[in-house]
Amino acid sequence: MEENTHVLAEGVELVSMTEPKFKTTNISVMMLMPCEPEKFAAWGLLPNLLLNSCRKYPSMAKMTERMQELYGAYLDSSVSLIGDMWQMQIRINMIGDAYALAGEKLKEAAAELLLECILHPNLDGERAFSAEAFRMEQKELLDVIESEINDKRSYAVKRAKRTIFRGEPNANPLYGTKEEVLALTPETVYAVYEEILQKAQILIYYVGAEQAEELPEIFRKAFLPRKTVEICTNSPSKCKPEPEIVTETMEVNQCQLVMAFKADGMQSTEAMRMCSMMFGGAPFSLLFMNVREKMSLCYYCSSSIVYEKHTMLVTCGVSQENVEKARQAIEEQLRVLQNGEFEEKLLADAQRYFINALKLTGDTPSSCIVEAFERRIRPDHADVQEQIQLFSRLTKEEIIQTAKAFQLDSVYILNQKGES
Amino acid sequence: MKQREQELITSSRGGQSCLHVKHETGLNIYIMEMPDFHTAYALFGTKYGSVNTMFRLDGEKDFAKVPEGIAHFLEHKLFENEDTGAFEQYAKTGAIANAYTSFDRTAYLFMCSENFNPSLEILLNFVRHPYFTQETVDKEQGIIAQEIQMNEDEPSWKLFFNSLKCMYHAHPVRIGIAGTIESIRKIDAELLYRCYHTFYNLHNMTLCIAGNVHAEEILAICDKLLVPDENHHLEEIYPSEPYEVLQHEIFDVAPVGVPMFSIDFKLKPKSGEEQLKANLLAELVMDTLFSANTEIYQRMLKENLINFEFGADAPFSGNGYFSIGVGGESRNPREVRKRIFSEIERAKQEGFSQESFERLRKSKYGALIRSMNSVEANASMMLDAYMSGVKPFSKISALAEMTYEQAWQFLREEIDTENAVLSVIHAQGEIL
Repeated sequence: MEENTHVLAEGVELVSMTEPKFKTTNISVMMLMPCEPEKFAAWGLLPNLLLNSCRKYPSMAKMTERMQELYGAYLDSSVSLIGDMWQMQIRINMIGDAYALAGEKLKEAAAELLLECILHPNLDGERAFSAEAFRMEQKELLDVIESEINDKRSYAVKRAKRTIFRGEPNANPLYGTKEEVLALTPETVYAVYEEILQKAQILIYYVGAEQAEELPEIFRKAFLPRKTVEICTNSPSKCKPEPEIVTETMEVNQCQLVMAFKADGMQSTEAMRMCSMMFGGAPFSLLFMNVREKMSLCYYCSSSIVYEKHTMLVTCGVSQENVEKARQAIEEQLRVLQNGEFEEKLLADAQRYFINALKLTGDTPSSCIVEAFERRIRPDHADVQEQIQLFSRLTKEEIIQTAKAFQLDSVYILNQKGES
Repeated sequence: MKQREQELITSSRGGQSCLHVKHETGLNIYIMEMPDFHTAYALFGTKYGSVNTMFRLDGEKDFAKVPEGIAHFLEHKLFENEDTGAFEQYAKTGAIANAYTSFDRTAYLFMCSENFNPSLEILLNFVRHPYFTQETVDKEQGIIAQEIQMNEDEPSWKLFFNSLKCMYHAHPVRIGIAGTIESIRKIDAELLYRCYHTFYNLHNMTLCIAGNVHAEEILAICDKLLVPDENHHLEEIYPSEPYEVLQHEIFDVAPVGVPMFSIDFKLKPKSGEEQLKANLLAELVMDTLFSANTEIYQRMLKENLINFEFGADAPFSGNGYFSIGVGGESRNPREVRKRIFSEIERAKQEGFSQESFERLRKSKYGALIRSMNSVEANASMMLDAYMSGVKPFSKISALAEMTYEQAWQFLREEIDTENAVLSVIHAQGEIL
């Protein structure tokens, strides 16, 4: 794969990756801002407002038709938090030029459509989004917030984060609250949009079979000189002196248990990721083998790491009467890791698992983009080859030390209504 | 080199080919070599899912009827053998492994970037060597009970199964894939062995592999490890299923935000190529009538009848069942149904936009090409083709030949607004 980086303006970069094996053209535009939770509602409304219509295709119907003409181009967006940075991603994925039935130049069309969406939105006048489009998106966002309850596992994690990250941006709902969304206007959302265009770090990624010589110029013309924010993703979350336990109830068949463990002090990213993998990240890990397989307490009990926050999250779906038993078993398995009461084999298995997964990078356009993006936003992010080396070199002693740093910060339980 | 019954199947449009080998053991093997990729992805599947509940083999007089959820239970238990579990074996190669059971199939899979051959040996060995004891069966009950509870808390799952229960009088597609907490209690080691020996016969199975692999090495491993199975001529029966739906609507309660709904049309099931073409026509018709650029979609959106969750669902078909539908979120799902029915009846009389149909055909072509980017999607495409009784790449070839006239005819002759189910999930106390 050939990779070229072009600095197009202050805070605007294009990374172009040419990989002949792919049959698609993919362009992702990432915009990063330091978190301002009071703006989450406006920021959350923005992506759909930009994608569902624009000046050239001023209705959702026209936009949909345009995407259908482009062989069902897939245009979508997401917002997320990386540490204390807020990120918006807008991306387009469509077939490569070689598969266009009439020889159309799809790559340029993809870039132009993305830029139309980002730079030439559907406005009423100069400084406000179209009131009609705004109302539709506002209603949609309210429905999205209301329906967060539907997926019980992710709902429980969202609720748990209010306690886990209290006082930090991550404690806030990603799309704001219903009240905050209701308070927005086409003008206020336009104001945050303008601010993002002026200040956000903009990282653009292209992955496709063809060279993309024309793309730097297309994107260079699009962005004016600007003064941008710094990227800073690492923002460890401090462990509470005493674990905090929060219980809520709902009409559910299965209870949700979320436990957060935090590691204070300097920690190596690879050691934290490895700890989480050995603890509960794979079917050979301690939580799967013990809490699920040996104790038959649950269908899933797994851990994941939010490493910029030094936080390990465990989620488990369990029946009401076994919540306490599961909680104790999870803590017990962490003690196993901390006391080094595990076989060397577990570490070797996890190393193989990581290395195998790392070597899959580059086989999908999205993994190419994620890898290049991670390298750019995290100063300590090693490339794939270096990561393989770092994971391979980790010792049992390092795992024990890192595991010991993880302490219970908080427990969230979503119980059945009517049960104690 | 060994003489084999084999065929190279090519998609000129997608620029891809795969090898189909009818292995001497009875197994159908499909291999797509993708040397530019690092990933290798293997699926070992059997035509055994939740709908296969009544069967007999050569020489058996009576049809066996087994408890609901047993195919899925078997999938869980096959991961354990006498000495060690399959996951522990995979841990030695680094492969990422899993399995799934659906209505008409069970598949065991792994993905890796290295140690492909030893991982393939693990896959073939553990699936071919069952080991069940009452103790291990009992242990699994608790895990699967939690999986069932998890599904019951998933409103879209509940919405879908409620709809199936209303569409089908007797066909086992109306049963949950994992069964119920009561039904899985009836499962024992003996029953698992019986189902295993019935359905995990190589004549009923396929091995589909895509990615950075070598066909000759795969075939050598199959030659080494697979022992031929005698063809038992598996015979299955399904309860007689009327054309009409059992019930036209169902409303159920669960903790959800905006009420969820689906409107599903029960259609006459088909098989093989005919079903594949019907699925494509159904997708094209429903997208042409109800995608985001249509007048009806925009009108319903403006009137707050739907939100962006609205859209046509993928066709749902298999042995003896076929349905298509639309779904989304609405606070007035009965009004949405009225509008949908009226649009279908209008389109039956007047036709629909030919230009829009052609754009969607182009979109569908784009989606198929996009999926060929993925090693995983290619292996799944081959498995799906085997399970559906068609050749790999049939979908993209059939799409090229599809016409507006065929789509309109399909709409007129197959989609019946009298034969549909409205399924709704809403919060307790919400009046709809």
